[in-house]
Amino acid sequence: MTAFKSGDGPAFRELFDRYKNPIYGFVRRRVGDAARAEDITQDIFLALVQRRNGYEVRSSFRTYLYRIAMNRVASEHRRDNPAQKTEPEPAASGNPAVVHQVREALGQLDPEQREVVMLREYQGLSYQEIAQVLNVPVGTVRSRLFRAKLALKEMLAPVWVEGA
Amino acid sequence: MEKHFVEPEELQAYLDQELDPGRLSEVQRHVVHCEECSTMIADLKRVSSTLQRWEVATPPNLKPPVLPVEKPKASLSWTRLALTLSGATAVVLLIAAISIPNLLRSRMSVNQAAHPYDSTATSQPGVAGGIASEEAVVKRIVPNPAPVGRMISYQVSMTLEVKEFDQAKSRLREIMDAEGGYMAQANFVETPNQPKRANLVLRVPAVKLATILNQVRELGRVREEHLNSEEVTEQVVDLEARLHNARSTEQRLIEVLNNRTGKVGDILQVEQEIARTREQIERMEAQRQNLMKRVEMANVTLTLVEEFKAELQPAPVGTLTQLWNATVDGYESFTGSVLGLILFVARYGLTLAFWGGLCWGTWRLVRRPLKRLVQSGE
Repeated sequence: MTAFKSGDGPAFRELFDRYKNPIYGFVRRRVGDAARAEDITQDIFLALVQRRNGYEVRSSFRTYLYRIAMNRVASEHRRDNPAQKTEPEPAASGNPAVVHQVREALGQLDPEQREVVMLREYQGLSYQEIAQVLNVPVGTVRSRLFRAKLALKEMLAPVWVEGA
Repeated sequence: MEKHFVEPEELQAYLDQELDPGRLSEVQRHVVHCEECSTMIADLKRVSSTLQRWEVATPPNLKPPVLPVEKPKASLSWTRLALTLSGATAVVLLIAAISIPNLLRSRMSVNQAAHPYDSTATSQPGVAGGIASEEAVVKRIVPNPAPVGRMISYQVSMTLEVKEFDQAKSRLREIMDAEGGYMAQANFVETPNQPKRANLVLRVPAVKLATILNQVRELGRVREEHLNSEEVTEQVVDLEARLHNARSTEQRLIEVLNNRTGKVGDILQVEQEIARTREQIERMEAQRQNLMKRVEMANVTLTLVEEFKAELQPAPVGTLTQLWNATVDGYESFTGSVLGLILFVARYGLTLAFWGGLCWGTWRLVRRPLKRLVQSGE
């Protein structure tokens, strides 16, 4: 990121290659349309280029990138007409019934808890990083995550019964 | 039995390796012996593994965005400055050498445009910058009877992003009024939380198309612009020739009818033929008028979109801002607590005073007899 900040083009390419999958996954789980998710992913990296001077080297790059992604997705949801809002389509891989139940369960969570769970489970962010992205204390992240997991345990119990 | 000193939240943090090293070993030792915590850990692991089954495949053709080209920062040196100045002077001289004769020529063209039907106008039609220049369009539009030169019908479509939507709308109306155009269609769409949008069809005089487009472009940022032109000269010439023939035929038929010498059946047949020819003439005249309208008035399909103010604020919040936010929160919390106290007193004060007074009075009444009773007992 430091090389990229000083205007290194190949450094950007390396950053893109490293983070394109997690960022696309982040967007795709929150946006209904796959093509739109691709566009938003590109927008996020473009915003990264345009705002690279706002990045402070002492903070985590991942945190910075996910904050951009979070703002961009929030902006997308504000732009969406609620009447036309579509539910995210399930991914092609995985058991569709299980995927559907996982999405349903996540959808029933409190939005604040859901963000913490998704950042931890799908993006693999540490508690400290989640706290920075969401601008909340680490203790809050810990309690939200635990409460969300307890709620999910109840909601996902039928999946385990069916699986057994 | 092992003492249960682990908070439930710590179990998730233990699983995520988010505990301090000291605490981690303590929890680890506890978990080995605590059945309740072991069960909870197993459940939490199960939740995580179930969540992981929602997978998202990244498209293989996901490409990086096209980066804006940055101009290299020029370092100021005397040699470079001298070279730049001499280059700029040469460019200015070159532009002056080209533009002065053109300026004189364009003044002549303006004079000709003021009298578009003047038979002395001799300039040739041409196209400048993708859109025909005004004088060229003026030459193309030659009225009845005989079309001279090329006749072109213009269709322009443009998408314009504007900052102030309502201002742009009213300015557009002013332009149309000033230049003799009009809005043939106007659809305004205003949805909450979405940029305003207007789909307009403008009909503008073809001779002023370039001027009007320049004014429209100044309303905002052009996101898309397309120009379609269709040459209708051949159609008009063909139509004129057919119209001329049809009129001659009609004239001859009228002459035949006037000098009628034949049978009644023949006369009726001639009359029918005159009616049929007249219908043809009227249809062709309508077609011709339609073509001429298309040439005289260009069609501009304009989409006005309000600039969407996307909120991207990825920069971390500064210390001063955090301090200010904390101060505001503190002030709000203080005023909230004072207001809460006032509301509490207002809501329950009277009841508390009543019951407090009643209890206190009762206590005063029974205190002495009780005291006496205690003393007599002793």
